[in-house]
Amino acid sequence: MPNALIVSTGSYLPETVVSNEDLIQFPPEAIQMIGEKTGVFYRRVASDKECTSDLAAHAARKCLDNIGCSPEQVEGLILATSSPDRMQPATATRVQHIIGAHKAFAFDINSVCSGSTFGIAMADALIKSGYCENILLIASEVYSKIMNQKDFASYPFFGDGSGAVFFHAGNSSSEGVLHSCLRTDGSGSDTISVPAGGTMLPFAKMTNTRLAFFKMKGIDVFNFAVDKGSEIILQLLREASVSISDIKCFICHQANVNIIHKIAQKLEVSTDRFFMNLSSYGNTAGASVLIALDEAISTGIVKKGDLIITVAFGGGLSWGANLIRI
Amino acid sequence: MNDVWQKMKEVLVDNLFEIGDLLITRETRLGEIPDWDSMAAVNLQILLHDTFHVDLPLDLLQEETTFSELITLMEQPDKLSEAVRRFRERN
Repeated sequence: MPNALIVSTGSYLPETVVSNEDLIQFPPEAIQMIGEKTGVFYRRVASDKECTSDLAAHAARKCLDNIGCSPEQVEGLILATSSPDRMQPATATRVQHIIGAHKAFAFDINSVCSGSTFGIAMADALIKSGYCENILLIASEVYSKIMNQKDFASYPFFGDGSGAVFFHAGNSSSEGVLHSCLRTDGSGSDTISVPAGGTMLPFAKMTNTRLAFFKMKGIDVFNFAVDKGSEIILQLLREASVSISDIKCFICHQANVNIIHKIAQKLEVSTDRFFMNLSSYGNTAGASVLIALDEAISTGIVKKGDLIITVAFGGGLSWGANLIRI
Repeated sequence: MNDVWQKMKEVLVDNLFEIGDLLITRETRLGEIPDWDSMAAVNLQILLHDTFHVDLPLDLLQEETTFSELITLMEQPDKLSEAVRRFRERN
C-alpha cells in the first residue's frame, strides 16, 4: 500500500507586521496582558486586497517551486480553512485557478484550528487508497477579517498566514505519514464559532452585528486544548507503538504559549521539543501547524529521517494528531 | 439613573461578546456574565469608555462588581476619582 511522503513544504505570511503596541484600540494597561496570557507579541495581517485564497496561492507556489514541480502535476488540492473567501464556492477552487493546477480536483475542509492535522490525514487517505499520487495540502487563514477589531478576547491573539505541503505516493512504510488520530466532540460546537451568516442564523435574521464576528470561550478552550492535546498525542503513540522519546519534535498548533507549556508538562517532555513561532505570528488558526512545519524544516530544526508529531485542537470541538517520518 | 442604565444595557447587549443571552439587571454581578474573565473585563472597559467617555481602572471590573455600582460611577464622571476611592474602600 502506498503512503504519503512529504516532498516539499512552503508558507506565506503577509508583509504587514503588527506589534502589540500597535493595537491602539485597546487600553495601554491591557497591552501587557496579551504577551503574558498568550506569548504573542507580533502578528501578520493581510492587506485589504488579500483574501484567504491569495495567501493560500502564495504558500502553494513556494511549496511547488521548492522542488521545481509544475502545478499541472497536482492531482488533488485540499484547502483547510475556517475563514473562507466566501460562503460558496470552496475557496480551494480559486486557489486551483490562481496557481494553475488545472488537472487537480479541489475542495475545502473546515476543522477550524485542527484543519492541518485533518488535512494531513485526508491527503494520506487519498494516497493510501490509490486514488491519486500527488496531493497539495494548503491551510490558509485570514482571521483579521472575521474578527471584531475591538474584541480584546480574540483580536490580539490571532494572525493571518498560510502553509502548504506537497505529498507524493511512496513505497516505504517507514517514512511519510505513519499514523493519524482524529477526534470530534460536537457537543462543544458553540465554544468557538462565527454565529451568523450560515443557515442557522442568516445575515437577514441577524439582530446584532456582534453575531457576525468570530467568538470563543477562552477558558473553556484553554482547558480543552491542554486535555485533548496531550491525550491525543498519547493515543497516537500508543496506537503506533512508538515511544515518546523517539519523537524529535512536536509541531503543535500555535494557539498559546501557556497551552504548549501545559501539554509538555502533562507529557513530561521538555518544552524545547515543541517548535514555537507564535510570538511572531500569533495564532494562525488552521494554518499554524503547516506554517510551523515549513519553518521547522527550512531552518533545519527538523531533518530528513526525523520522527515528528503534528497536533492541533480547535473549533468543533475537534482535535487531531499525525505521526510523520520526514 | 434610568438613562445611564438603559444606555449601558443597550450597549452591552449589542456589543459585549461574552454576555450571550444573559438578561442583565442592575443587581447582576459581572461574574454572572457567562464568559467573564480578564479579557471580558477589558472589553467592558473599552465599551464604557466609548459610550460614556469614562476611563475606569481595570481593578474595578471584578466578579463581585454589580451594574448598579458601575452606573453610580458613570453618573459622576467629574467625581470619578472620589467615587473610585469609595468603591475600593467598600470592596
